[in-house]
Amino acid sequence: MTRTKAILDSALCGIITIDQRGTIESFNLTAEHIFGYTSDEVLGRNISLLMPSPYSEEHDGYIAAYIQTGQAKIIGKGRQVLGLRKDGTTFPMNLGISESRMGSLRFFTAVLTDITTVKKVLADLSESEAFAHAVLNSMSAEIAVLDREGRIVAVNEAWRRISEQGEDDWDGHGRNTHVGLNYLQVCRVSVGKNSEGAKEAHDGILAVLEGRVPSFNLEYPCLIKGKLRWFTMNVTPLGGERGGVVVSHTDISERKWAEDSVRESEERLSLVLEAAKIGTWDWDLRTDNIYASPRFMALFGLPSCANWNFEGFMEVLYPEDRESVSLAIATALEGREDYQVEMRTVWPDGSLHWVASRGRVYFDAAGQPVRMSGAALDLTENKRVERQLRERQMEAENYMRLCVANQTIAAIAHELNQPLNAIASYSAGAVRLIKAGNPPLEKLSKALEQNAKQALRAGQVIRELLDFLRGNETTKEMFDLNQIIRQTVNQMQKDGLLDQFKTTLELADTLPPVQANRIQVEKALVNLLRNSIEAMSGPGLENARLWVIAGTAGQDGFAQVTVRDSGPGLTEESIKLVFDPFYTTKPRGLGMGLAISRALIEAQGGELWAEQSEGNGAVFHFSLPVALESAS
Amino acid sequence: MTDKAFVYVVDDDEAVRESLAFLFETAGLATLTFSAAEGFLQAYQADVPGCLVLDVRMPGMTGPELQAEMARLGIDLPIIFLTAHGSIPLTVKAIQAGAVDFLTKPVDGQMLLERVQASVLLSAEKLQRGRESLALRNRMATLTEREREVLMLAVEGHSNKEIARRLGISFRTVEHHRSHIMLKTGVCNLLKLARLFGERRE
Repeated sequence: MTRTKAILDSALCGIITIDQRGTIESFNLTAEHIFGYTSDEVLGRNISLLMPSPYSEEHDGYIAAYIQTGQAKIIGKGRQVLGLRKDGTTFPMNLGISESRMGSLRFFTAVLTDITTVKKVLADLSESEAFAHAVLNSMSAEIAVLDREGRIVAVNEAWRRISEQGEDDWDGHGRNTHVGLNYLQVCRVSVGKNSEGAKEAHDGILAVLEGRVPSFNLEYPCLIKGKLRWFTMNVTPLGGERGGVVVSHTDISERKWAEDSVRESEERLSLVLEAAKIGTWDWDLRTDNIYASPRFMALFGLPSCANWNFEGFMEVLYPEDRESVSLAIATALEGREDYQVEMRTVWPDGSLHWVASRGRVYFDAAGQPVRMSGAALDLTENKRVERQLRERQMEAENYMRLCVANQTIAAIAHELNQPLNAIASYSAGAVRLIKAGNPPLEKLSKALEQNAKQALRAGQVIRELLDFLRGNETTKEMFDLNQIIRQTVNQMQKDGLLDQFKTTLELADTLPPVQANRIQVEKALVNLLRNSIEAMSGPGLENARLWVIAGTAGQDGFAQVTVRDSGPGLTEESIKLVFDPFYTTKPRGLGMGLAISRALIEAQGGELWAEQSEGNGAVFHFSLPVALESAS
Repeated sequence: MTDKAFVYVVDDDEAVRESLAFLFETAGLATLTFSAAEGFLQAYQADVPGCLVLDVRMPGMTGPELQAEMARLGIDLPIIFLTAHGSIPLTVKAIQAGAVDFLTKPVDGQMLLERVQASVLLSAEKLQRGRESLALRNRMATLTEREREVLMLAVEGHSNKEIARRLGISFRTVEHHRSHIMLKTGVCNLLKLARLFGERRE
C-alpha cells in the first residue's frame, strides 16, 4: 500500500479519482464501504458504474463537455447526487469534485459522503418539529416559548390568534405579543395599567427563568367583552442547553364559574342550614369517621370535633335512647328504610335536649353500605311547646271535667237534698207536735208517710246516679284483651301522653279472649294509665316507667291486667281511700277516676284492686272473666 | 206577737213546700205555699207581717231574681233563702241584697222554724213602726206653718224664750203654740216628740 493510499483510506469521506476519460484510478476504503465494491472490482472501470441511470449514460458526455468548453457544472461547487451501490440500491451523497493536472493529463478527484443517515435524521427532525407544532397548535391554551432573556421565540396558533386580535391593554396573555417581542418587557409596561397580575406574572416568569423556582402558576381575572373571565398562567422551564421557559395561558372561566356556583350554592346551603339551625353529619362507614358540622355538635352541647366516631356519638345520647337509635341505624344500613329518629341528649350543663335526625345510607356497587349522611335539628323547643300545649289541653280537659263534675255534683246534691230537706222538716214538725202533748195522730201519720216516701225518693236518686255512672246498657262481647291494651297504649302514645315514660307491655300470647264491654274496659284502662301518668308527673322524667302486664296469673277463669308505674306508690293509708269517690291527692283531681274505673270493671263481673307498694310505684290489678267458650 | 202573720214558701219541689207548711203550722203560723215566684207576688199582702222562705233554683224566676223584683216593688219582707246546693258567692250576694238568712238544705227543721218566727216578729215590728210613723205624719200635717217653726226649734233644744226671740213673737205665744202642737199630735211631752221627729227625719 502506498503512503498516499494509506492517507486516503483513513479519510472519513469516500475519495475516488478518475482520468479524463472517466476511468477510476483510485478508490479508497470509505468509498468501498459506501458503494459496496472492493477497489479491485472498480479500478480501471468507468465511473458511470457508480451512478444510477440516467447519469451513468450521460457522464462521459459531462466530462467531454467540460474539457471542451471549460465550463464546470459541479467542479469546485459540490452538490447532492445519487450514488449506485453494487447491490443496485441508490443513496444520496454529497459530492465535491476537484481537478488536478499532471502535465497534459487531467485528473478529477471526487470526495463524497453518504448522507442517507443525515437526510433521514433531518427528515425525522422536521417531521417531529411539525408534529410538535401541530400538537402545540391543536392546544386551546395559548402557548409561547421564551428564551433566556424572555424574548418570545415561538408561539402556538392560539397565542397567535389572541395576539392578532390584540387590544391595547395587556390582559395578561398575549395581546400584541408576537415572536420577537420581549414578554418580560410587555409585562413590565403593563404593570399599573389596570392589568391585574402583570407584576406577579413578570416576577414569576423571571423567577423560573433564573431557576429560582421550578415552575410558576398564576390565576388571574380578565374582563373580556364585558365579561369577567378567568385564566391560569403556567410557566415551566424549557430545559436543555438553550434554557428559556414555556408560558401558557389557559381559560379556566368555565371551571371557575362552576367552582363559584358550587361555592355559592354551598355557601347558600350553609347559610340556610345555619339559619334553620340544622346540623349535618357524614359518616364514613369504612373508617368509622363521622364528619359533624359545628351546628350538629352544638345540638349535643359539644364543641366542634374533627375525630368523631360511632362510639363517640352513642356516648352523648341519653342512655335510654341508645338502643332505639342503634336499631334505626341498623335498619337503615340494611337498606330497609331511611334513617329517621328522635333522640334525647344531656348537655354538659345537665339540661336535657331533643334532637331529630334524618339520614340516608349510600351503598357501593356490591351493595355494601359505605357512607351514611344526614341532617339534624333541635327539637327541644318543639317538644316543650308540644308538651305545654298538651298540658294546657289536659288542663282544659280537666277543667271541663271539673266543671261538668261540679254541675253533676250540684245536680245530684239538689236531687238528694230536696227529699232530705222534706224529711228533716216533717220530722221536726212531728217532734214539735209530740212535745206539745196530745198530738193529732192524723197529722203525725201524714208526716211519717211523707218521710218514708221522701227516703225512697232519695234512694231512687242514688240508684239513677249509679246507673248513669255504669252506663245503663252494657252489651258484652268476646274480645282479645291484648289487642285492646295495645290499641289503648298506642292511642295514648299518639296523643303524646306517654312521651316522658318508658312504657313496657308484657302481654301473654296465651291470653284467652274475655267477655266484657270493650268500651268500658278501655275506659277503665285509660283511667288507670292516666292515674299513673299523673302520679309520675311530679318528680319529672327521671327514669319514669310504666308497665302494662296481661296474663292469667290470677283467679281461674279470669284474665288479669296489671298497670304498674314508678311513681310514689300507695301508702297503707291511701290504699284504703284510693277507690273512694272524690278522694284525690292531686290538686286538680276529681277523685272520680279510680272510683269510676272500679265501677266499670265490676260491671263486667271483674275486680279492680290496688297493691300496697309504697316506694315501688303504684300497682293496680283488674280482672275480667274469660269468655265461656274459650274457658271450657 | 201579732195575731195574724203569713209565712210564704216559694219552692218548685212539692215535698219541700208541703213539709215546710207542716212544720210551720205546728207553730201556728199560717203558711202559704207557691211553686213559682209569680204566685207569691199576686198573693202577697203588704199589711200583714210575715216571712218569705225562698228556694234559689227554680224554673222561671229564680230566688235572687224574685228578691230583686221585691226590692223594685218596695216589698219589705224578710227573706230566708233555702238552697239545695249553696255557693259562697251566691250567699254573699243574697245577704248583701238584704236577705235575712241563707240556709242549705237539708235544714234543721227546729232551727228553721225559729228563724222564721224571729223574722215574722221583725216584720211585725217594722209594720207597726211603719203604721205609727204614718199616723204621726198625718198628725203633723195638721200643724200650721208657725207651729212647725216652733216645733223645729223646740226639737233642736231651744228654750221658749229663745224661740220667742228668734221668731220675734212673745213668750206666751210660744207657749200657746206648744200646747197646740201637743194637742194635735197627741204627744204628752216634747222629749217623745223629739224622738218621733227624729225617726221621721231618718
